[in-house]
Amino acid sequence: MQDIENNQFKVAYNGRKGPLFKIGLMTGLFTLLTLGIYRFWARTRVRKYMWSAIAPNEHSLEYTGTGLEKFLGFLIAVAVLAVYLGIFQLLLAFFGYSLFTQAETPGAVLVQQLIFYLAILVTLPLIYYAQYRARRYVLSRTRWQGIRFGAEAAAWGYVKLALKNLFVTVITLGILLPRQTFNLEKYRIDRSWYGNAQFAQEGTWKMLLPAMKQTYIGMAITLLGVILIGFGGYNTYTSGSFGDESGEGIGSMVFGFTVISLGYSWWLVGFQIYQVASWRILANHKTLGQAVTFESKVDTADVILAKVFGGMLAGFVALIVAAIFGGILGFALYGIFNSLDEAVGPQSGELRVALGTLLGYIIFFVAFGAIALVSIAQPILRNFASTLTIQNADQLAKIGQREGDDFVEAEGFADALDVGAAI
Amino acid sequence: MSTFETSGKFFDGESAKSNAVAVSISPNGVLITGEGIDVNWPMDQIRNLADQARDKGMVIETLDHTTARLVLLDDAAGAYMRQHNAKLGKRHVSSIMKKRVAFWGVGAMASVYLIMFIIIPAMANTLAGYIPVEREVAMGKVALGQIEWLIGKTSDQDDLICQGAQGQKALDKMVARLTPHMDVPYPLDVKVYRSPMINAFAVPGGHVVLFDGLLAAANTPEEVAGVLGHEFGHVAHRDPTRLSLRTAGSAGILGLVFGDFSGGFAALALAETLISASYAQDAETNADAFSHDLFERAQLPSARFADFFSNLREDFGDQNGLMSHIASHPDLEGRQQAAMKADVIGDRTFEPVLTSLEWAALKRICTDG
Repeated sequence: MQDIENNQFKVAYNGRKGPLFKIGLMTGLFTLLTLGIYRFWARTRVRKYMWSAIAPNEHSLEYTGTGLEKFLGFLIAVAVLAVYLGIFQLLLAFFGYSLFTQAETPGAVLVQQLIFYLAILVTLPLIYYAQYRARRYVLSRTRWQGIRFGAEAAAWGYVKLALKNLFVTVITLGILLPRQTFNLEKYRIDRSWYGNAQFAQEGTWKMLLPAMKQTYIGMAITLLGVILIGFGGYNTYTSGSFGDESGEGIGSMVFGFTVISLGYSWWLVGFQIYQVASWRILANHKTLGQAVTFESKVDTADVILAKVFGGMLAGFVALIVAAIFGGILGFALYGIFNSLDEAVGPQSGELRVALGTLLGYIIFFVAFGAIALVSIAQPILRNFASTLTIQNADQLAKIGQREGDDFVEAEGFADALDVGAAI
Repeated sequence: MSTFETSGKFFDGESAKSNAVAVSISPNGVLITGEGIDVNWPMDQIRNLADQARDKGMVIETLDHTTARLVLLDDAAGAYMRQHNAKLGKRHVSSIMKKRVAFWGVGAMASVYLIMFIIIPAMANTLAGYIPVEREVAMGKVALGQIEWLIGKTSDQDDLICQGAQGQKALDKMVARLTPHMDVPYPLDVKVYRSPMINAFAVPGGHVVLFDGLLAAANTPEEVAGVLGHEFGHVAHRDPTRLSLRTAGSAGILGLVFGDFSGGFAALALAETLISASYAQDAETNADAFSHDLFERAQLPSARFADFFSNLREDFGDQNGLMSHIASHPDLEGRQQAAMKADVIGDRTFEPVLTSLEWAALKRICTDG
């Protein structure tokens, strides 16, 4: 919608449940039938629908990526990463086997965890690299009013910045997370373009602090629990034995664990709030071509509720669908099972269980995938899109086209490392 | 010639400006006119955008100028386009794209082949030798615990391990007949599971398991001894350890190739079976040879081991072709012939592995005690 008086564009979300569900279900089944190969086309078709549903000033976004592009990216990622991943996993298994089968002492647990984190650390630069490149690919395949979006080729700088910021976040136990969020977003946004106009992220990281309020409270409660356990342990230790009649130390330890689980739950919800609230604050401090600004009124509760209820709904419906269709298929396969008895002998009991479980599992995931698109992804996207307005919109008409970005490997690496976008 | 007159929004692909235009569609093409705009798109070059979230109308583009867009606002215009342009939904793939896909397709397959069938097997074989023996034993215990839990769950058996005292004695005697002739780094631990499956397996660290169903299917103690020798072969070659290292390495690759679940999951399960089976074929053949060798040293006729395979073939038929690849073990006929060929005793008499009383006790190991 165009509000000429205020010189602003409203963003509409025009997606519907029916068509999106149909795309999700058909592409999901096709992915199943092609043993996974169709997944690149499936993802692309869902994106085309969702992008075109987002309409600033009633003009749809357009996603111009193709399934073949993503498939090519996959081939490149396999060619480059297969050897690396194979050797890496084998070595990991070797060290796992030769050091500890089942960690029996706290020291063994610690070393095992260290190896695990070291393994992640080695992959971390690659992950950040892949994420930046994936975002650049998606932007370069996004258009609005015929004009391309785009991002600069600056993935290695991003890796350096991301590693530095992550380090600071980790050693401050997550307290300085807003600094990381802001710095990375600024790096990405300052290198993003719409046509020949450049985006900019204004503001400072400190403006994200209010969004962290509930996360900080959760952290404080957890810390309190840790202190209580420490005290409990100390009391038990000084009083000499666990059979101590007063039971003071044990009591405060149990209480401490309760406090920790409360703190952790609080932190989990708080973090969800942070993600939405920080997105809103950052959006409100973005500019395009030094003139166009944005205003987001996205509501944290709306998004979180959409996530929770949408997830529950999808899980519930998919479970019912899996039970019904699993039952029907099971009946249809009864004859096969019986001939299995004759062919394989009494071993088919295990095979029945395995086959039945596999069928139910596959049906559940295809159904869940399709339902989750309309019950989780679309409502969340609708929340973010329909609460956004674009200010000084008359400036947009002055923006011109930018060069296309020939991007051979698409999102291959991000997909391979499983760090791609959710949609 | 009939033309269709309508209105639309035009984006020239040069600026973000939205232009209200008059559109005249004929079977030859689309004429777009507006303020400073006069464009003619030939019909056979026009394509529509797929999977769009719009209730009516259509967005079209032309292959000559792929950034410009025309939004047709009413359904009748879309219907007219569909009627006069059979290629409307056809997707264009450039020849450079085709070449790239072909090039990288070959590259990806070569890379997967190299890692799965050359690098990982070689590394797994080498590294298996560096895992400390006591680690392997402990690792096997964990694996065995998981297997016992799984079999117990699916077969509703509470007491999975058979403990008939006389049968155990017979089993120990059988093991003692074979072990002096071999060199294994771990203590051997042999047990019998209460399950109708005709099978036996070894896990890392010298744990060997026979199924009750196998004892029932065997006609002589030598047949069981042959199977035991085969499993000892796996132990001596550290096959379970090498195989689990290989599986760990190839699991990551298969996940990369097939994606996470649904279709990928099914393909993953199948591929994993095929891959581990092809790894295992060599190991199985070597384990059989190990068993034949043990028989020779223990002065036992491996022709009796061959009987086991011919029995199985009579009862269940041979698994040839595809099935024998999936079933990881080489076909029964081949194994039978190999065992026959390896026999050095022939018609001479030999000291049986067990007396008939002991043999009967072993067969009852799961019903006694």
